[in-house]
Amino acid sequence: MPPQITEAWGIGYLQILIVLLIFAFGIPSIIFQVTLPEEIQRLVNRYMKTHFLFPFITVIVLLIFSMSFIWFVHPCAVDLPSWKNWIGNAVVSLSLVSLIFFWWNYLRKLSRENIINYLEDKIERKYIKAGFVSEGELMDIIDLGERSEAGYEKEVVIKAISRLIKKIQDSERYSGGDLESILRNFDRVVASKDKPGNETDFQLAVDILEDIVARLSSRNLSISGDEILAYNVLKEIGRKAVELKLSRVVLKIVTIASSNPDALFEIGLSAFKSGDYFAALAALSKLETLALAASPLESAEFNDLLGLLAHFWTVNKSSHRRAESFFNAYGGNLSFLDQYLDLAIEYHYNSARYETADKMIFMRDAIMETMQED
Amino acid sequence: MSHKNETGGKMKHKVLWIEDGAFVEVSSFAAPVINRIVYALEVALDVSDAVKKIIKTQFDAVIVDIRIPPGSDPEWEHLYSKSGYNKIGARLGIQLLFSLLKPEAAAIKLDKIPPWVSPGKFGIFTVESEAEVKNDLEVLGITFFQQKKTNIPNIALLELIEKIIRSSNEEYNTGGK
Repeated sequence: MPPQITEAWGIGYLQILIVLLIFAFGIPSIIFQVTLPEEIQRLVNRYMKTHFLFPFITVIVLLIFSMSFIWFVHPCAVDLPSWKNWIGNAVVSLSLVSLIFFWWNYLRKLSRENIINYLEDKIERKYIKAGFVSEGELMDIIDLGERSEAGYEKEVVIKAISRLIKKIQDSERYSGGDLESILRNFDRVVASKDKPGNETDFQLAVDILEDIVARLSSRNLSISGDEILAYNVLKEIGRKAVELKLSRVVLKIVTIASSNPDALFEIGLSAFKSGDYFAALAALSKLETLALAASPLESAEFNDLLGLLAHFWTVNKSSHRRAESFFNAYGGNLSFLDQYLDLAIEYHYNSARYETADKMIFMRDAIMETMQED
Repeated sequence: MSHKNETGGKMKHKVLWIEDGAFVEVSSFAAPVINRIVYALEVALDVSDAVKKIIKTQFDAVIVDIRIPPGSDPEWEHLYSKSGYNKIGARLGIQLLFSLLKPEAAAIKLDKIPPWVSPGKFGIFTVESEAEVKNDLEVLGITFFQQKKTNIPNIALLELIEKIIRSSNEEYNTGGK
């Protein structure tokens, strides 16, 4: 029997349909706006354009349910058999439950993790196809990481970048310089000015950089652009870790950077200036080891060592004593120390490290004076 | 025994400290070592890292903690899992020493043992008492031991290192007799 719609039922159906339409379009949009952070909404709008189809799909689903309700179980003049009542109830209930499930599943897909995974896959596919890292998607991951809260949110981004780096370094195409765009921006995720990561985020980032260097070494690509960049990032992260007083992270960075005099100098100096003398001492000790093994003496290792020693020499009595002990132990054996000091002063002057150069001049004059007295 | 570079200056003594809490306990025990100009202290936070460093670098002294994690090497991870993921039960520090010094009795055989590795270069710095590890130390031939306990001076690690270096120097000067 076709549905016998009276005026009252017609108005009722119309009202129900309007409410359902509002529900289909309005509620999910409100949920989308309220539950997803702005940066995720931006990425969804940019990359997941199909999400605009979902309200239409919802309306179609609702229409199917409504039509089936009207055509099959619409109340008519005769009493409905109980099975029709059951079907009527089931249709209405199912329509609501399926809609809620549908939207819940959809919003779940728009989570931070899924969007990052989506971008990660896209970058990987493009790398395999074209041999370079696609900066558009990469910058979106980096921006997302930079705006993320410390802890879990940043961790998701850092781990995605870590997986990406590993895949790139493990690929046949990799020649030691493909990580440039990642490494040039990586520190923004962890050591961003406004939202820096917590200690775990820093540790994760440092582990990634350590792995990059280890993989380069295992593939005999140590003297590559990526290694230089990895140490630069380590330096930046190290400076931020000093600022945030993450001593364990700083010490780990000093250990990893133990073959890079520039990083040791920068981190050691930051630590020294911020009063983290232990980290500064650890960096100084590593520099001493490097410099004493270096050949010839007018090397970056020796220049950086003398630069850091100059800060120890001039700031306070105990640090002066530590600096002096180096010259007592090794200075006597260093012929032409004054010349090396002059070369190192020139090196720091040319690097625009004027403060260091000034302190070195002071230290050189004091050492020379003592040597002349002796 | 002295290391010299081309300038005639003495090189630092290389010391490895295998200790997962090194960056935590570092200020109390490591600072006096680093502060001494003659020591270059390296830290290994787990067994895998320690093995890599021992194979790569010749150390003058190696200080081992008994309760250390396995790190990323699957063999050491497996050994660790067999003890129920328990550092105290696994005693990976002792297992590492067996792999280095008594390979025939070791649970894990290393591909390569550097020629400089000998019992005289190794010392134990751990919370276990000497009595608890006495049998193992006898088998391994290790004589340098320091228990980590409350109220020990912060130069305890430094003193242990100095004992090892001094003993190596004496042995070197007497031609190993």
